[in-house]
Amino acid sequence: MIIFAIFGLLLICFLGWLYTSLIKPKASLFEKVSLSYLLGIGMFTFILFILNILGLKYTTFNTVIIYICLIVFALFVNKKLHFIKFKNLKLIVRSLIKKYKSLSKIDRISITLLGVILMWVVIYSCYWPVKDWDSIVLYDFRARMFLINGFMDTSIPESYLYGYPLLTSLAHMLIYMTGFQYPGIVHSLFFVSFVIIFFALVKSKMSLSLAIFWTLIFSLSSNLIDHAYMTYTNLAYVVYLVSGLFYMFEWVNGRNKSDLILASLLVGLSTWTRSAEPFWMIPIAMVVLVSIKEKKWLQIIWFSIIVKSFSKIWELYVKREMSIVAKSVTTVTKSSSAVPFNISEALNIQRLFEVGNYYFVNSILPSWPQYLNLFFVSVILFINYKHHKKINSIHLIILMFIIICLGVSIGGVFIFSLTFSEWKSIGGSLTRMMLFLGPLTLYISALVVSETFESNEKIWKKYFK
Amino acid sequence: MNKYFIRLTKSQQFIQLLSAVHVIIPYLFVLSFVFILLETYTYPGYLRKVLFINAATFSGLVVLLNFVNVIFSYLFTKKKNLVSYQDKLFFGMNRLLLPVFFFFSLLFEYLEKNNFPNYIFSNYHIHPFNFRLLMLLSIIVVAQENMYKCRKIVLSVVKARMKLEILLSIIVTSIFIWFSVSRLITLFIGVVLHGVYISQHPLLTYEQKMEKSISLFSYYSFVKDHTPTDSTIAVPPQMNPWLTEGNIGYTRYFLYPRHIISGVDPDIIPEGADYAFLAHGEWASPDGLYGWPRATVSAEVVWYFDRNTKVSTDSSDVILDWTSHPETRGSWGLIKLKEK
Repeated sequence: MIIFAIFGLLLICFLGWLYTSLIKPKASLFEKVSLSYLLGIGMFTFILFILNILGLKYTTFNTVIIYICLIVFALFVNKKLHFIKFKNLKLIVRSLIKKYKSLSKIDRISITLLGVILMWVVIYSCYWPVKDWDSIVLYDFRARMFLINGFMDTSIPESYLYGYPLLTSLAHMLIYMTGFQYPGIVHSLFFVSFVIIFFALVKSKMSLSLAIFWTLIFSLSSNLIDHAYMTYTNLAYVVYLVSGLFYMFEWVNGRNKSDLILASLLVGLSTWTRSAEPFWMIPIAMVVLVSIKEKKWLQIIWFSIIVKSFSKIWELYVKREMSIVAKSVTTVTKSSSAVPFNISEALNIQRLFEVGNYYFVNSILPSWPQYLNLFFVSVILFINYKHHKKINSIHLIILMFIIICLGVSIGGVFIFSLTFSEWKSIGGSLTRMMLFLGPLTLYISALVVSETFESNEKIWKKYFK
Repeated sequence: MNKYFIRLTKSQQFIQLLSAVHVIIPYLFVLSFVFILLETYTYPGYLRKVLFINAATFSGLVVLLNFVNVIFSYLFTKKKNLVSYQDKLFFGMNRLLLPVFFFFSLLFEYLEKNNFPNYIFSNYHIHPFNFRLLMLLSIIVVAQENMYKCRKIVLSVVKARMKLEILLSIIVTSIFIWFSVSRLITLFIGVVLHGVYISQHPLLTYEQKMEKSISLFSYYSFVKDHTPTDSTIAVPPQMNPWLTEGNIGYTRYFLYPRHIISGVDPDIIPEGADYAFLAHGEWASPDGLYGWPRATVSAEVVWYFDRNTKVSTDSSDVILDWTSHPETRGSWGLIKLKEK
């Protein structure tokens, strides 16, 4: 059955490949490989969902028909057929092997280690079935429900089932449709794609050795590897959001429209994974600022529409479904823990300290190396500006972005503390919510540190001679 | 007096201090290992209680002291190689001990995974996590051993114009490397243990894997086999000792599309059910009482399920009385309720 699952995933990647080629024909091979999976599975599940709203059941037959239609559409639009021919594939594999052999010993060890890590994550997820609590109760349950029912079961009177969008559930369902019982493979491939996309993007900004080194560090120390074994939505959310941000930074750097389209799709797909988090607003704000400066008004509109459309359609769907099950729905949040907003509480200094302490314990303490490194990187940027009067604008933008994200999250916790009486009981959720800061911090650290090392290359070479 | 004692300049005093520190460093490292071993046998935090510093912090300080000492020694003395006889002895011993620590880390992890969490401590009074600390410290010592021999590289790192941004870049990279290495150790242990298990059991079925992962899986399968898909099943309220089987969302995953209902009172079976769990309770009960339902039940059929042997026995047309049938309290099974 694993053969069918691999075949199914390859078909989805093929679809993603066609659309990636359409959006960014000049993307590097590594970019295309990872984007084909991310866009393929994200867009395909979303289209399945839209058609389901319109009344089309989730069945294997319908899925195959929809897939064929999408492929035909992609081939019709993408007449140049930017996908790899088999002869090219052979050449590419050969050149990759040749490149590998020409690398230094330490680079080859790093690549081998990276390969072992990624392979292990995939093997593990292909072996063990879904066993994580939240997945059993929600994400994977919905996948099994769709397989049996073809629709969301409205006879289950729980709003919890509508708590998160369906990307991971539908991805699980697609795996089950192939007869394979281990949908964890979807999550491990998210991780693999993320590592590849990181490599593809940093490779263009530093030497190959440094890119390999930072990719290895990225795969190990960004806290994401633990999530690659799980079947939760946190990893998928971080992968889509941060990949989208990477492309947005690429767009700010090079003003390439295809990067902005990719950014909008990827950030949008992050809301198709988890819609409650507010971080999709920050890229929109950034695009608005840049577009106003350049007087490109249309850009603001289409970027915002693409980003918001995923979660908006989901929200409308939830509203419709809720009206069907409304009478029996258990609105636990509102009845037991929701408290009315109180202005005097908002001005209470004691509350500010409590929120600060809560944030420190649940976000800073578990990931203190990230925060420490973020501080050091800020100092490096400051020194570069102060002493050398030079600063890489993209580094500054990424740093600003991270600081805004921190501000938004602290503000969010503060508001949450005012409107939810049991706000202190879900510290783990805050830790998971801030997971995306790890890869972002690593990205900016890799860029800044590599630039510092490379700008002092002569000195290094002299000493290492 | 002056005849025998030469007044040293401040820089000479500093160099002497560096040499003195260098001499005591191997002993401090040995002390770090001893401290960690001591906390392995007592409890993490024991040394903090006695000496106001815990073993991990002490070891970290020693590593830092050695790091700084090596850098200053190269900067302010002309020594090309810092390795002395006692260093050689210590480093040699460390290299011998590293595989030992690694072996015990793997062994303890394996035993914990194959028995139950806290198995090592409850049987041998050893904190297994500390062996990872020992292994990490041992790896760091190997790395610092290389620092002792590489004056040129150390100086190239430290002296390369000594710009603050370079120094900070080195710190940032070092922090990432530090955490990557410690993560790699955990990952490697996981790869070995799970890899061995997977290679030994490559053909396990989905059901066998689920039984290994989900303790109630065989019970849920039994219930699934004995109920039609359109049935309504009553489960215990979600409270101790039925926190797992009483969780509607969790139980529903295994029994869908059967309808699952639950109440809040353990003495009442919710209305509208065709079947009811006969549930001993998966969790510990604070009042020592196990078994559900705690009501008198007219049953069409009762299936008793032995979770160890996975064998079920049934009896028809019985009235289950929780108070007069204490044997049902210790059982798992399924009740087909009589229509009212």
